[in-house]
Amino acid sequence: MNLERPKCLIVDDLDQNIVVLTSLLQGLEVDLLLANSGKEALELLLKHEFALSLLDVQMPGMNGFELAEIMRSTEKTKGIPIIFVTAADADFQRIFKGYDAGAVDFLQKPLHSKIVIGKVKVFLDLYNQKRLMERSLKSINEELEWKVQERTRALIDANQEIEAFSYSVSHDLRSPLRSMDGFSNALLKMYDDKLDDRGRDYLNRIRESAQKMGELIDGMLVLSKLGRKEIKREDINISQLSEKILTNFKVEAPHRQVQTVIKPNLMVNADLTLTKVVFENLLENAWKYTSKKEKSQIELGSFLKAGKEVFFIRDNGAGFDMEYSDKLFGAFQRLHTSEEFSGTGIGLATVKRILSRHGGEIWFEGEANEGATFYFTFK
Amino acid sequence: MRLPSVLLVEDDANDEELVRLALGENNIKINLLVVRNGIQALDYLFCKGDYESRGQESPSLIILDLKLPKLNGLEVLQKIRANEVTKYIPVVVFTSSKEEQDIKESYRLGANAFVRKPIDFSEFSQAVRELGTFWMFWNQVSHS
Repeated sequence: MNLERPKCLIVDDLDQNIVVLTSLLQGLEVDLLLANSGKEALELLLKHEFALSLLDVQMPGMNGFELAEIMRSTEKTKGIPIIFVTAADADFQRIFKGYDAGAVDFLQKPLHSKIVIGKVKVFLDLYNQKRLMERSLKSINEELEWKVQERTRALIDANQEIEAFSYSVSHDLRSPLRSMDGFSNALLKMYDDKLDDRGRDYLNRIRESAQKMGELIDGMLVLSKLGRKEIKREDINISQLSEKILTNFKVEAPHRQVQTVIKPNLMVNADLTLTKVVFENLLENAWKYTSKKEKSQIELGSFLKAGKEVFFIRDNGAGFDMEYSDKLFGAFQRLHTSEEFSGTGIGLATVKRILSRHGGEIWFEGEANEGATFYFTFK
Repeated sequence: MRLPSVLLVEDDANDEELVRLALGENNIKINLLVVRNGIQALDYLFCKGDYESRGQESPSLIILDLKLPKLNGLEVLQKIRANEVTKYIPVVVFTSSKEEQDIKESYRLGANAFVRKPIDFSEFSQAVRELGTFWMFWNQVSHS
């Protein structure tokens, strides 16, 4: 990497001193810029980037310390290392007082050539290294920036593909199912006299399968949409929400004896639409899997764990075998057959997706025939 | 009595047959005209191309699928609403999806109703019955 030659500022009111310094430093890879006063120096400092400055302490008007003061309080110049050039011993104490902000060194007159060259070289090397690092940092940043842009583009493309895909799924995959169901139905009605029980049974199975696949497609579309929906957070009383959902279930199945225990006024800050989906799914599961119990119990509660509010929904239903429980949150995975309990196997995958999009989690405990408890957090 | 005519814009022959079955099941007697794509639909409505000599009378109702070859349903709807002759014909979008974008766009472009084609034939039949009764016999004349 080629870097511009670094610049060094030399400030001294006496030309003969400047001549001495320039002749000492002329062999170094550095451009020397010269000033006879603090004022001239400041003009140069505003125009150029300096690797280093050599300031004579004793100058009429603005002396070296005053100039250093101004340099340190100015954004552009406060990082420039300063080497004071002085004859007076008394100056040393002042040199190291009050200039903590940047590198400060000194050279004592009479100047010794090796010491002058050595000190200046150290600062120039530091400066060059710093510039090299800045440059490579910049190129790393640019590369990162470029990569982020590329990934973003790829994500946008992928999202558009998924969108196009799900659009086409929702249109195209459904129509063949409609034909299967519709024409099976037509056969059952119009050709009833030509069918025996077995024939009717098979046609009914075709209808059920077509409808089942329709539900699967719908569930899949819901899952894929929820993953992309924008999250708008608001305060939600999940106790009331759960109460409402369970009341609807009770109205639809008045014959069932279900005891529900809901801890009042539990609140989350989350997306309302998505939170509804979470509770509809979890409570529907609890409702469904307790349907074979004579007396069902469903409980919503919460407790604190490591300072975080953990909610739970507990039921005394069919439960599940923990051995297969890792499959519980996978889309289209089921631990029960459709004959035992109906369902598409998308509900819990959807719930998990929603909670993780909120920065929350879900886990569970269960035992076959002993009920299940789902624990979950929102962020 | 002359039967009211309904234009069904539907590329899927199976869906057309299901509509006919549902009409039969619900005893709805209409003159069902079927076209298979958006271009044919507009040719029919504007008496162009193959339909140049069909006579000037417009259908009482248009049942419009969205996913169609050549010109899609939303484009057809836009053209129907932009033309003085066809502007007031009731249009029911009748399609497989219930994608929010489809529903919104349909209503924005002036559809009178959006009905999703159910997979379950009993529901499908009911949807056709509602279309038939609602649009044909109550809503036939009152255009705003």
